[in-house]
Amino acid sequence: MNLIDQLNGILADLQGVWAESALMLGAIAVLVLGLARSGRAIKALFLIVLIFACYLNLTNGLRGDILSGSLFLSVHTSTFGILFLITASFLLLFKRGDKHSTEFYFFILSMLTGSLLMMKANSLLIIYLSIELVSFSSYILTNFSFKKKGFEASIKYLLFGAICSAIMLFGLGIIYGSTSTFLVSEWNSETFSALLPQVGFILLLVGIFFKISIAPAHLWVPATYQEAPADATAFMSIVPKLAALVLLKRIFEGQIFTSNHWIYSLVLGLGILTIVAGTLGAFRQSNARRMISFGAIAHSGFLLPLTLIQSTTASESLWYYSVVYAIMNMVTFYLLDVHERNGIVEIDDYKQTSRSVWIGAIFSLILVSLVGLPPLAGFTAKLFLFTTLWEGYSLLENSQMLWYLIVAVIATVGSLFFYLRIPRAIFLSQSTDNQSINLNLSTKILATLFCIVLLLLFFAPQLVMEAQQLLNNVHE
Amino acid sequence: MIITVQIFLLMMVLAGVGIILFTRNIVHAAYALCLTLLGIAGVYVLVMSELLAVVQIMLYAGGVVILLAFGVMMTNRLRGEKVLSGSNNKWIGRIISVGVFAGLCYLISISPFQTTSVEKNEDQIAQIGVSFLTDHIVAFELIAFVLLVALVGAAYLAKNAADE
Repeated sequence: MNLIDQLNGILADLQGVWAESALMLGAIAVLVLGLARSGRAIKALFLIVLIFACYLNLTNGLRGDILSGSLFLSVHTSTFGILFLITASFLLLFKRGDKHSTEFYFFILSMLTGSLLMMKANSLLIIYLSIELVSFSSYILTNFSFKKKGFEASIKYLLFGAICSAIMLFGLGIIYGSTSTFLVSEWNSETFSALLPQVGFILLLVGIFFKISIAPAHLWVPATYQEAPADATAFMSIVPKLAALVLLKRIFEGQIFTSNHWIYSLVLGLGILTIVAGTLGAFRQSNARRMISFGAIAHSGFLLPLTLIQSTTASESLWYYSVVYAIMNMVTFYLLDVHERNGIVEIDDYKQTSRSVWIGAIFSLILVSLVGLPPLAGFTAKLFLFTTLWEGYSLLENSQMLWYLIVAVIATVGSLFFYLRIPRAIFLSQSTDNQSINLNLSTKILATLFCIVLLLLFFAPQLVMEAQQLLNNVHE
Repeated sequence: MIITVQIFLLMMVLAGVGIILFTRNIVHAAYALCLTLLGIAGVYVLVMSELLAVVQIMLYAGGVVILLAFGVMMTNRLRGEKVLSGSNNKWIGRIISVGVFAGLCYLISISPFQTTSVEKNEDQIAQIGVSFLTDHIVAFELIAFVLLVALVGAAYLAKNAADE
């Protein structure tokens, strides 16, 4: 193929990366505007960049391999892309001073770019680079409080992440050495028949599991989620995690392992371990944010099997669970942030808030949704998960799926006991020094709106599926 | 002839690795790293990939090691004492690393790696340059952005640390 043809091919494929290009340029524009302005102008530019990227993402009709196989576009990459961009726009609701706002939005935009590319990645190079881009931004955002504890959490995160990415790089080297291809789409059931590429694949999974926070690569989560600014934590707990899950789904879609392969069993086993580690870890916490972060680890374990099972139910469940998880986590961290600004950090501190009944009730409902009880969308998400696992068990006749199902059900019941410690502290404690916390009306309205959305998605789950269809077909 | 060069390069790499493993002085470790990286550059020359050899010398031996040495010296000045590295859990560490090394050696020895014959290629650099901007354009641009993020992050953290 001559050079002119190649360049024309690239030009034709560029449409698939317009959204990422817009985000990169937007990040640089934010940085430049930050020299002259701060506060409102930066936020406005951030929103404009997001809307523009959303538009570019929606109008892109390309599917399949693009740019000589570097990226792979599918229904999932386009709809999850929109989900990530909308999630990012909710960060504007958090209260944020002018001091570090320019760099904050710069790093959020770069993390978003990395996440979008991560789930589209088809080449080993892109997988590595996009995970690094997301990680670099996360390390720095963790330290955005510029206090000793934040620095400590950030260094721990950095060391842990550096080791994981070195291990992953080694694995990529082994995979390339034994398959002589960079492209995930060229893998098939024969690729990993020998032991060496299998070891390489395990090492690659270390890097991806680090981003999803699957045990034993979950150790960085509690300290990081506790010390990073609340808006950064909300973003970090949603977008990179879901992007890595979509990437994992894409890797396993190639049917590279049968369901009785030892790697398949290992991944399922680690998923079960993650649920157990997250649930048991949450019991011992006294800090509210730390407890929620262990809950988020358990949620990674719940989401993992949805990427391994190849069926329509599994894809739909993954999409539904992701949307609901994004809403729940966003509003949980929003409310935690509101309370922390009033000096309420530990779970026991919530005893002082028994006078603010309305926000207490809303917070309790959100936590009930995180547990997975009706009548909130968290219940439907769990129900879809259990259905998928049961279907996986009966179709694949894999008894591990049944164990997964049993552990997931027990963990769901167990999570009642830690999530509901906050409502108990608010409503059922006899505290003498009751003080009404300082909330403005918009906070209450916002939290209520989120809660109504969760209720709505419980009663009409098909809305989420229809939204996926709709988002996928806009370009036509 | 070529076997002599190979043995020389192997000794160079191993000597560097040995010093890094056993010295406690970080400045010495940085210089030993330079030796290892130069040895690897020699290996690249032997398999006819000149570009990688040049990049290895310029970026790794010339850039990364110098940066490391500077970093160590700056830390020296701050504390006013030598920077020595400590070690914990020595025996567990030794057992795990020897185990991993032996396991990987065994695996690599029994597995067929995909190999191609070494060929002399005149316009190697031009080909790599073209493929950067055609086949690997996304990776190329992404690296640029990753470096920008790392740079902004480093400068920003350093600035705020200096403020406080």
